[in-house]
Amino acid sequence: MVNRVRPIIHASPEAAARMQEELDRKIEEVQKQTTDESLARSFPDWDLNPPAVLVRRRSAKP
Amino acid sequence: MRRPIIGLGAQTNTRLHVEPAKRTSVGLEGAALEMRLRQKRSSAFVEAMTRLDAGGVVASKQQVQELIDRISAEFPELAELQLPLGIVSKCYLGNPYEVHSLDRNLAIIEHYKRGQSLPNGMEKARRLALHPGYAYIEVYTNMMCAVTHTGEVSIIKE
Amino acid sequence: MADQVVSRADLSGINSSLRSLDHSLNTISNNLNVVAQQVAAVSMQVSSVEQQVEMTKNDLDRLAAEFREFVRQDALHKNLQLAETRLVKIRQELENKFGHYEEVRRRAIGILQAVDTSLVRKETIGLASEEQLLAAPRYWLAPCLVALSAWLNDNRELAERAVMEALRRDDEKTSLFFALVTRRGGRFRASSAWLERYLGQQDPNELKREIVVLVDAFANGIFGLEARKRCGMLIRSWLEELSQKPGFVEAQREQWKNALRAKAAALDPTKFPHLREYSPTWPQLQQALEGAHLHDIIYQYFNFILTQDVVPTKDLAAAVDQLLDVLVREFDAEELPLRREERINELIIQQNGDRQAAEQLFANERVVEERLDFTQLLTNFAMYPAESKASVATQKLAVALSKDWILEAHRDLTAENRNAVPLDIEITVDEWKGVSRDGGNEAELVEQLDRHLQEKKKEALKRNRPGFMNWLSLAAGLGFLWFGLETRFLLVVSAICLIVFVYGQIKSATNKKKIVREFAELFENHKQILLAVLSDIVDYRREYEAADANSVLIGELLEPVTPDQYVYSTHDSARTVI
Repeated sequence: MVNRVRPIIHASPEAAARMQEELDRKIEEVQKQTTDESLARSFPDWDLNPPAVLVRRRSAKP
Repeated sequence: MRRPIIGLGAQTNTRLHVEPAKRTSVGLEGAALEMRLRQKRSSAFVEAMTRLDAGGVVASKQQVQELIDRISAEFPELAELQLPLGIVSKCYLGNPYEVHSLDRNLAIIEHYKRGQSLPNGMEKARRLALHPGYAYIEVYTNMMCAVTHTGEVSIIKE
Repeated sequence: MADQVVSRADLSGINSSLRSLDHSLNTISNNLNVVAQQVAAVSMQVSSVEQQVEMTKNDLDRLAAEFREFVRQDALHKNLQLAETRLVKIRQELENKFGHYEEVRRRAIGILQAVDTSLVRKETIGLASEEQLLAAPRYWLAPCLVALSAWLNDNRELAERAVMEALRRDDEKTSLFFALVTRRGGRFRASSAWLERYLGQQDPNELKREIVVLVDAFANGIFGLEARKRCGMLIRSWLEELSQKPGFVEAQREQWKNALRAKAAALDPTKFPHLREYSPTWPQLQQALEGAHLHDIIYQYFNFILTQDVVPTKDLAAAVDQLLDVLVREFDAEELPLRREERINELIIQQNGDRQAAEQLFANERVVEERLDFTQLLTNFAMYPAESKASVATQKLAVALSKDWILEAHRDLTAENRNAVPLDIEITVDEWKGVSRDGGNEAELVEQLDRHLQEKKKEALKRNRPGFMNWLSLAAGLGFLWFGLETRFLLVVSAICLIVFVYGQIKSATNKKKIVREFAELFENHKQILLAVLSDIVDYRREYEAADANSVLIGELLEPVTPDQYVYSTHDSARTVI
C-alpha cells in the first residue's frame, strides 16, 4: 500500500494548464522589458528567417 | 520419470519451438549485452515465469522444456552461454515451501523450504525473489536481473 | 811517549787559516742577512702584486657585469625598437588588408547600441548596398550587416540575398548573430528559428562555454515560447546521439547512482534502541532502512524541482546580450595571426623590450577554449543547482532530459537495497543468541532463553555446592573430636573445624537461594529485553515496508515528464498499467 502524503505534482490538467499560462505571461513580460525598443520599432512587418536548407554540422574534429 | 504413453494423441502443437541450431554463437558484447538485458520483458514471458508451480509440486518434463524454450525465445540475440542459468521466484504452494527455481541446465523445477539452500549459485536470488515488488529473478553467473510485474528490469551485479 | 815539539810556524799557519775561515763565515753570514732582507722585500712585493691582481679581478668582474648589463640593455632597447617598428608595419598591414573589418564592426556596434530610432536609421544609410560586401570579401559580419540594414530599410530581396552570402561565409556565426539580434529586437519567431539553426550545428561531444548561457536562456523563455519547446527537443536529440557511444549510457547511470545515493540521510539515532543494542545485525539493518528512506527523499527532491515556479528574470537576457557584443567584436579567423602579432608587440613595448615577460602575459591573456561535457552539465544542473548556478527552468529541463538514466539508476539502487536487507536478524542478550525474522517467534525464543538460563543456573548451582575443603573440615572435625576425647586442645581444633563446616554449609544454602533468585530475576530481565527487541523488529519491518513502497512514486513522477512539456506535468497522464 502506498501512503501518499502529498499528491504527485498537480491534481488536474486544468491546474497545470493554468500554471503554464501564468508562466507564458511572465515570459512575455520579461521579453517586453528586455527588448531593445528602437531596434524593434525599426523592423518592418516581415521576418528575416533562415532558409529551410538542411543544416550540416560543422566538421567534428576528432 | 516415465514418459506418458497415452493421451499424446493428435495434438496440434501451437507452442513456441526454437531450433537450437540456429542460435548465434557470438551473442552480444559488454555494454550491448547489458542494454539488451535491461529491455523490458514481454508480459507473456513475465506471466509464464511467475507460474513455475502451475504444474503442481512435480512438473512434467514437457512443461519444463516449454518454459526453457520460452526463455530462449525471449532472448533471440543472446548466445547460449549468455542466457540465464535459471529463474527463481516466490512459491505459492504454501507451507513449508518458500521459493522455487527453474534450472535451465538441469532442466528441472524444484521447490525449496525455508532454510533449504538453492544449489548451483541460485541461492543469491532468494531474498529478492521473496520481495513482493518483483515477479521473478533471472540468475546469471555474475549478476541477477530482478523483473517487476510490468516487465521492468533492474540489474544487480556481483 | 816521545816528546814532540810542535813548531810555531805550523800553528800560525793554522791560525791564519782559521782567521780567514772566520772572515769568510762572517762574509757569508752578512750575505745571508742581505739575502734574507731581499727575500723579505720580494715577499712584500709579491703580496703587493697579489693585491693588485685581486683588485684587477674585481675590476674585471665589474667590468664584465657592466658589459653584460650593457649588452642586455642594448638587447632590450633593440627589442623595443624592433617591436615599435614591427608594430607600425603590422598596423599598416592590418589597415590595408582588414581595415574594412573594423569599419564593419564599428557600424554593427553602432546599430546595436543606438538608443533611438533616428540613430539606427542614420547608421543603416549607405550600408544597404552590395558594395559593402566587396570591401571585406571574406568577413562574415559584412553581409550580416548588409542583411540587417536591408531588413531595416524594408529591402527584402537584398536582405535575403545577403543572408545567403553570410551563411556561405560562416553559417554558425551568422546563425548566432541573427538569433541574438532578432531576440534583442523582439522578433521571437525568427530568433527561435535562428537559434535552432545554430544549435543544430553544434557537436554535442565538444560544446563551447556559451552553450550554458544559451541553454539557460531558452529554458527560461528568453528566446520565446517556441524556442523553449523546440530547443529542448533538439538537445534531447544530442543526447540520443551521445547515447550511441559505447559505455556512454552506463557512465550516465553510474553518475546518477552516485548522485542519488549522496542524498541519503542518517537514521534517527533514537529509533530502535533495543535492536541497536542487542543485535549484531544492526549495521546492515540500519543501512538497509536508510536506503529505503532514500526513496521518499529523492521523490521530494524531484517533486520540488518539477513543481517550483519558473520566474524569468532580466539578468539572463542581459547575459545573452553580452554574447552578442562579444560575437560582434571578435576578430575574424583571417585576421587572427596579424592581430596576435600586433598584440605581442604591444606587450613588448609595454614591458620595455622584455620579450619573455611579454610572452608570458600574452599566454595569460589567451582565453582557453574550454570544451564542455554536456552530460556532466546536466547532472550538475539537476543535482547541484546551487553550485552550477542553474535557474529553476534549467533544472527542470535537465531532469526531463536525464529522466531515463535517473529511472534506471533508481531501479538498480532499489534492487540493491532490497537485496541487502537481512532476512534473519540475530539477537544477542548477554551470552544468549537467538534469531528472528519478523519478531513473530516470541514463544519459541522465550523458551530457548529459558532453557539457556536454566543451564547456566545449573552450572552456577553446581559451582556453589560445598566443595572438597568443606567436607574435609567435617572429616577433620570428627577426627579431631575422636582424638580430642583425650587431648583437650584437639577438642578445640575439632570444634573449629566443625564450625567451619557448618558455616560452609549455611553459606552454600543461602547462596543457593540467592542464585535461584538472581536467575529468576535475570530471566525476567532478559525476557523483557527480548520482547523489546522483538517489538523493535516488528516496527522495523513495518517501517521498512512502508519506506520501500515509496519507490514506485519516483517512476510515477518522472515517467510523464518530457523536454517539451517539462514545466508542469499532470497527474492524469501518469497512469501506469499494472
